[in-house]
Amino acid sequence: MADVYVVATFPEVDTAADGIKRLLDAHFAARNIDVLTGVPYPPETWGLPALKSNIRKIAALFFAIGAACGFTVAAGTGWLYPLPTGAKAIITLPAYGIITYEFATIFGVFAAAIGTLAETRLPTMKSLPYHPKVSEGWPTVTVRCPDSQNIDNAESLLRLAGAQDVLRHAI
Amino acid sequence: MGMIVHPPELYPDEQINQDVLRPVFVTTWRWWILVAISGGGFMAGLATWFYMMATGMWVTGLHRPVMWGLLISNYVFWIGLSNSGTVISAMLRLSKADWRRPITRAAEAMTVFALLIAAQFPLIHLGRTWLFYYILPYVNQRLLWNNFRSPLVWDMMAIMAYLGGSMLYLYLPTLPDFAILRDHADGIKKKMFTLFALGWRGTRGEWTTLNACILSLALLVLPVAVSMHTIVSWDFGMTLVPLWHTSIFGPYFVIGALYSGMALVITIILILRWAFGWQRYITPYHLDKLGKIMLVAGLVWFYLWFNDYVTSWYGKLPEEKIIFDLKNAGTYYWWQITMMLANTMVTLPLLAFKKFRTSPLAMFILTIFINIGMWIERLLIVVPSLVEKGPSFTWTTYHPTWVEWMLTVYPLAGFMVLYLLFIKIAPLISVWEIREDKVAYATKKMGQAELRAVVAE
Repeated sequence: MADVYVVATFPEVDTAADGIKRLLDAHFAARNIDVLTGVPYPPETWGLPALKSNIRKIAALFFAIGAACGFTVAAGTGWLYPLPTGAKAIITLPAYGIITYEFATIFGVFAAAIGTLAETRLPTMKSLPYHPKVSEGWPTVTVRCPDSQNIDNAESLLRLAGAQDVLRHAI
Repeated sequence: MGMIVHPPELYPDEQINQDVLRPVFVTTWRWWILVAISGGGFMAGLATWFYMMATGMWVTGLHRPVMWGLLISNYVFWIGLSNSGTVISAMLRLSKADWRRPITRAAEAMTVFALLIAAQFPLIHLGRTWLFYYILPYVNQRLLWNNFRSPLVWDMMAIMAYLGGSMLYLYLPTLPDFAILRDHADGIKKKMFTLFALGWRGTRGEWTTLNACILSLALLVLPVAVSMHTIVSWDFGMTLVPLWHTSIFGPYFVIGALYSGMALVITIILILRWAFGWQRYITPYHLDKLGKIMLVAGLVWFYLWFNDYVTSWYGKLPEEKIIFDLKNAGTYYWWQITMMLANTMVTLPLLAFKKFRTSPLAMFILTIFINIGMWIERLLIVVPSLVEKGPSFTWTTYHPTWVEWMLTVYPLAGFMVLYLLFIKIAPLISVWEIREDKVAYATKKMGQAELRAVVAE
């Protein structure tokens, strides 16, 4: 059976937060409720559990992997294809330190970007619940209703809180 | 002059959309004229490059011992310009400076386009451009691998790291704005922005991750910017050429890059402000703040320049004195004077006054002068040290030919083309960040007081 979402647009943050409170009070699971906004609001605004991102850890991990790769490539090249120049050692730490750092950064930067796409599950071709009013700055509450009996209830609760447009979206 | 306050007046979201997105959707005749002029310059430069490749490097004024001339000066200048955009954006994001919001996108775009232009100069200077892949580490039949001890290889690595980082640092924070454009566009533009937005909806999870990503990228990219320009300075510093072989070049290049790049950021935002009527978003307050940073960068640059100058003057090493005299009493004397007037003697004292820092016209003129001075400064680093290098029977003069002058116009025209095209695919003021001001400065009534609802961490 298709998942049904109720999508409700609100003209203000306060009414949207009130709508979410009503849903939570009516025992809708917090994991099924989300808010779509045109700007990031402080996490406490909506009264929903705070979300965490692992991007910093991913970037740091790949920074370290990049450093190891960079040093291996530079030192391995020097080792396998010795090229004596300028009376310098074959494995020269100052020079290879630079290559190590640049590799580390490239890995860290791309890991942060790819990690962001993975964590947000973008790009997506699915038709997920959305309302163009989000672009006009209207906070939009979405609530997933696994039980079809709850759909009407969610709609009426959100309308009571001051929702302007209340739509159903099936996936 | 407008009021010097932050935030600027807070407009409804629809108004912000209308003001900032208009250049993406509305194309004026002025845009077409600018594209035609800059496109013409770009194509002429490209044709000159191909002509140089077809005929050989002898069509330039380069000859022994002056093997680095205008082309490498242009490279250093454009690398310097690229340095500043991402740096200023990253610094302001990391320091949570609220006033950054109308500036970051234009500055980040400047970095990417200046870097795309600058990165072409080593290829142009190569002469046999098609052999560029020799510098890439890959398995090949010649059994040749890179010499990772060469500063030129460090240079390539640093440029790649900075270009990759800066492109992602420009693109990812633009995702929410592409979603806004998607919702406002129709026809082929809607398809294009749908593709660029990647399905962005603005969920809590997306915002949490994007903010973490932006901060991580800022942290990673900031040191790379410093390393990149330091490595460019080592292209000179690692040689044994008089007045190049100095340890001061690293910080001197970095701060010079910040100085000239800041000047270009200000020039660009002032042009955008006039062209699109963004006076309410880019205010004298922003010019004042940017002007102060530029003043500090300029003073530090002058301090480092003077350090280098006074030690060379006092030491009087014979091989250095020859070059020193060329700059300060010989062939390049007037270039040196022009440089000092343009980027130090006239501009720095004026920048010390708020009246000048907050005047758009004055800042526009000053920033143009600063960049003329900084371009001459790059020329004075590269050329004089080579013309009288080594045994006196090799000494020569350097006169760039029309080929090099055309290849000096080429980067400017190319940069303008890229920027003009970018205006058509993304808002140059970050819409969501401007709106974030409204959240950051929203107030709640408490008793008789109006207090800010959100307090920055």
